[in-house]
This record gives sequence, C-alpha cells and structure tokens, in this order.
Amino acid sequence: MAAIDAELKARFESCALPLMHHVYTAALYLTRNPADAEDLLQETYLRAFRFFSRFEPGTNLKAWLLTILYNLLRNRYRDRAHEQQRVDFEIVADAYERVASAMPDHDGADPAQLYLHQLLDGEIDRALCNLPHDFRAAVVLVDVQELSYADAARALGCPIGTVRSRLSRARRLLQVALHDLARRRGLVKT
Amino acid sequence: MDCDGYHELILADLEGDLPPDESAQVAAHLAGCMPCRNARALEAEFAVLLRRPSRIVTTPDPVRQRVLAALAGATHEPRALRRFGLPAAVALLTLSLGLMLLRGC
Repeated sequence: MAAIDAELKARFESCALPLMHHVYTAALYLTRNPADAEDLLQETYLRAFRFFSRFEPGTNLKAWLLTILYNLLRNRYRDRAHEQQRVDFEIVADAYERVASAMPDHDGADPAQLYLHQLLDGEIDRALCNLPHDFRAAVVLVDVQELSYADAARALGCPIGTVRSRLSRARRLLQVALHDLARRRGLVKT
Repeated sequence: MDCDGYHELILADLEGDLPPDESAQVAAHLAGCMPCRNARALEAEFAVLLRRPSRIVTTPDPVRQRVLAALAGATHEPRALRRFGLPAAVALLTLSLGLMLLRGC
C-alpha cells in the first residue's frame, strides 16, 4: 500500500507539478485577483493530489487539473452574486461584421499587417479579462490552455455546442473591443 | 445558415474539432463567401496571438513554495475508502434504516 502511494506521489510530482504555471494562469484569468488565484491554485493541487488515483493515465492531465479548478471555482462562487454582465449580441454581431469587413480581403492579405499585431500583449490580456465570466472561461480553456472542445466542455460542465457558441461570442466580443482600442490609438482608420 | 451561424463552425474547424460532414459544409460556404474567408483569416491570426507561450504566467516562487508545503502534509485518498467507501456507506444506511423500522420509529 505504502509502495503504491509512493509511486502515485512520484507520478504526481513528475507529471502534475510541471503544469502549475498553466493552472496558475487559468486561476488568474478566472478570478482576476492574485490572492484568490493563489488560493484556488493551492486548493486545486491539494484536491488533485488527494484524488490522483482517479486520473486515467493517457488522458489529458492539464484538462483534468483545470476541471478540478473550475469545479472548485464554481462551488466557491455559487453563493456570490454572479457577475454575469448582459451583452447585446445583435450589436456585437453587427460590430464584428464591420471589423471583419474592414480587413483587407483575405486572399491577398498579409496577416502580419493586421491591426491585431500592433496591439500589445497586455492590451489583449486586459480585453480578455473584461469578458463576462462564461465567455472568458471558454477562451481561457480552448485558446490560452489549448484544450479540445470536448475537454473544455467536460471542465465547464456544459455541452460541446455551448462551448462552440460561447467561444464564437467571446471571440467576437474580443475583436470588437480590440478593434475599438486600435481605432482610439489611431492604428486603424475605420 | 447565415454567416453569423457559420462563425462558430469556422472556429471549431480551425481547431480541427469539427466532424468531416460539418467541415465540408464550412468549406463549401467559405468557397462562396469572402466576408467569412476574411473572418476565418482574422480568427486564425487571433488564435496565434492568444496562444503565445508568454501568456502562460510563471508561478511566483513564494506561491509555488506555499503549494508544495501544503502538498507535503497531504495524503492520497485511502485506497480502502476508494474501493469500498460507497458500498460500505450504502450498507450502513440500509442497516440503520432496517433497525429503525424494526424498532418501529
């Protein structure tokens, strides 16, 4: 028994600990507060360690850790007034259409010329942090953490179709916000 | 489906997360729709920016040490509980209910 636990501990240390930066990053984006992110990171690792025998080797360990993190987050904030902002997606869809149509036609465009490349990483981060929670979570899991849609759906506890639509809305909100920022900085005219 | 509806399929397709029939449907739409081809190019570039390795924040050393210290005192869920925990709890509950019924509570 002790030998099995020692083996489990060794495997946890060699596989789960190197992913700490990813888990910490997700915690930062999702809580938007370093102190809460640190607590969430610690709780996630404690729980993961405790239940590590339930992890199926060969599946995605980062996705498993982020699923634990998201469950803890959901339980922790269940009682707090949910910070869900209302978004009018008709307005966003119209604005997005303008952003995409302001792009040089893709067939001859040099992607490096895109206004996106002239923005600072911190500006993109801030726009991401300003997204409403559910949309931010989809981008953090699929884009920043590079989970598959199926793994993201498991972590978020929702169907894959919901991940698809949240991601689509999130990306449009981000593009509109960033294009607006680029216009204010004079990087784009339209 | 309108271009609005295609947006989420285009994103999933870029990820390689669409089944072949839907992927073919996206390709057919893209072939005849310049605005969606533009949106696809924009989103493909954006994905690269969002996935920059620099977006992953290094855990500050004091934070990492705190987690490691917490883990040093942690234990794995005992194996006996893992294997027999639920059946044992169900058996105990059944037994208690049985006793209560026998006593006529």
